[in-house]
Amino acid sequence: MPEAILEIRDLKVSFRTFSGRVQAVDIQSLAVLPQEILGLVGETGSGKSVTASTVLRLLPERKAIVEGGPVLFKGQDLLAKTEAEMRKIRGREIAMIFQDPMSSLNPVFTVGEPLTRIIAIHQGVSLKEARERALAALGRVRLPNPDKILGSYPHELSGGMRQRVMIGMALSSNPDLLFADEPTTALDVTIQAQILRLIDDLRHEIKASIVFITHNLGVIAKVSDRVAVMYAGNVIEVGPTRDIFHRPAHPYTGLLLKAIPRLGETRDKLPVIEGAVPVIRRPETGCYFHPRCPRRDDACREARPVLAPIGPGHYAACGKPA
Amino acid sequence: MRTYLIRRLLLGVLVFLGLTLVTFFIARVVPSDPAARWVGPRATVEQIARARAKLGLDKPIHVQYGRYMADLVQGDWGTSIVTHQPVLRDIKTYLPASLELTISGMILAVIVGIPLGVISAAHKDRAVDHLSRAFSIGAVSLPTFWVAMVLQLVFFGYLRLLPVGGELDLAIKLAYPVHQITGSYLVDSLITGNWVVFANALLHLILPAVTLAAYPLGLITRMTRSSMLEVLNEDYIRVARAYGMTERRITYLYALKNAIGPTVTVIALTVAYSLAGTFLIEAVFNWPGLGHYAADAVLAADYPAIMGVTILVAIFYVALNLAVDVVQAILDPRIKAA
Ligand SMILES: Nc1ncnc2c1ncn2[C@@H]1O[C@H](COP(=O)(O)OP(=O)(O)O)[C@@H](O)[C@H]1O
Ligand SMILES: [Mg+2]
Repeated sequence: MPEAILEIRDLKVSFRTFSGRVQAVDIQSLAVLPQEILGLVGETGSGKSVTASTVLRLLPERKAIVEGGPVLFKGQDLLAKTEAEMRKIRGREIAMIFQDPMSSLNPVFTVGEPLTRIIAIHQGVSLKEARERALAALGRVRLPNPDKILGSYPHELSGGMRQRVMIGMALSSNPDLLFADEPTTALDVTIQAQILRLIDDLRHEIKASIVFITHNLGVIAKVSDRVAVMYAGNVIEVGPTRDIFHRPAHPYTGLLLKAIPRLGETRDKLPVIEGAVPVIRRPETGCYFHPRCPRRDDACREARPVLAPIGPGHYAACGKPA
Repeated sequence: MRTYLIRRLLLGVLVFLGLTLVTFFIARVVPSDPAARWVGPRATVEQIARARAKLGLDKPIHVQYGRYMADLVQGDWGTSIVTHQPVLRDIKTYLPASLELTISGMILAVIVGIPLGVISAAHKDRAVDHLSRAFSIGAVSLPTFWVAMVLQLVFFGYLRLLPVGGELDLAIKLAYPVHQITGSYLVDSLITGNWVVFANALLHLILPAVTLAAYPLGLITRMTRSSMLEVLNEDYIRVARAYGMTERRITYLYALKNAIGPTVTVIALTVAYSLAGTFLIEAVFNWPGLGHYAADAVLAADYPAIMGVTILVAIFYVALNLAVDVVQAILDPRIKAA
């Protein structure tokens, strides 16, 4: 196995809320390999975004409690970095694309303002040179007329164009790692397909590893090399995409596969996993999934399973894997 | 942008006309006889009648309004019943002192209030935020006359640092005559390089300006804080952080440009209000501004003067509102599109 670009070990993240501490992430182990696309899948609230924010150290300082670790990026623990060191990593070595391209762009600045500024900051070039590179970045994401787009305000662009701008911005400084957090969820189906194709095309041009976050396994079926499934803040199964789709070992993964929406289906017609709740409540003991698990037995109520090998590169945290 | 501004301008003119109409009729409903006041308490009935004809008060009311508007646009704002001077000339006498006070007070309120609001929002629920809250709520809720008197007591009575009132020391006024250009001692002395007068005028301005600044300062701070808090929660702020922008740049550029709109409106409205609405401050600091003039006019039922001041304030309101519209359109490109 090649050396991982990102390696998360024993990471626990919780939030202080009015109703006490809420555990959001409890990852035993998760690695991202060089130049791969890793699909990070799980239902809403399973801790995918919090995981990405933890790596970039973007969690609200006073609300979030990060314990455990390390979070090794190219061998260095990100949890030990200072804020100034992190600023140099954000957007330069690790970039992020967010779900909603409308709200991701500042409405009162032209698209070019943050884009050129980021390039100037991270690549240490003049604003004039940064502008040239910004034009190139927009060209790379197949935006026609980059000159005009650079001077446009977000409201003048379509959703698809805005997401292309965001992807261009993410790739502008050639990062080693890219988090794409539900990058197509807010877009309509045809645009979604275009953006997915763009990401698939770009992976051959860039050297970045991509963590593609989604709640819909169907979205990443074609683009990802491996898939990691999260449930209640844990990574409960990880393996090559083909194994996850054809030989899911964890019953939760099986349920997720059944929940993939067919083309043309709207989201509220999705088969809902039985017992699903927005904030996932964890049982006191045993496997976190056992209250909802069709295969549970008495042992599942007592011992918490850890990730164990199922096949080559395929791991699952389940007492009764398929 | 242009059609947007033309629309706003037309709206402003309409508002202005409506205002002249309302003030005109209210002034006519006031149950005292302006003609009798014009000629004084010992006048005969014939004298009053003659004065009434001279002032046009015997004509039907719509004719009076029409005549008034015609005169108004020609620069004839009537003659004050109290000073027996053209109202416009009176206004020219009192306006510079008012502008001086209002503008310097507002500059103070803005340069302290906006950063304070931004800092409070950026450090929500920390010590600075609590301090700023106490300070701004105090500034808004303490009565103006009380603030004025405490300032006088401390800086004049106790520390002997600043003058108690007036625009200029009499001795300096006599020893260093100022060449009148704008009518404001501060500006005229600055233009003509009369530094002794300038320094003295500045010293006299400090306490009334601080007093005037208190209320808008509190308002601006709270306003800026709350809209900054909203903006700092936006996705694009998180994105800016995720791309390694410094907190300073995020707060003072990316967030503030989104958050400043409501504050700009508050500033403009406060300026227009303060022009003639600072009678209390002018009284305490013996400041010869429009507030004085307006208050005297009201007490004497001097309706040409009342209307003159009202119309002046209306012009400022309309002009400032238009300026606000322009500024908002520059700040937020989506306004032009709408
Ligand atoms: N700022 C926050 N304050 C409190 N709880 C939070 C915060 N952000 C996330 N959470 C909680 O963390 C859990 C995981 O959230 P998230 O990572 O956003 O899920 P998703 O997998 O949908 O991206 C959720 O239960 C959510 O309620
Ligand atoms: Mg999410």
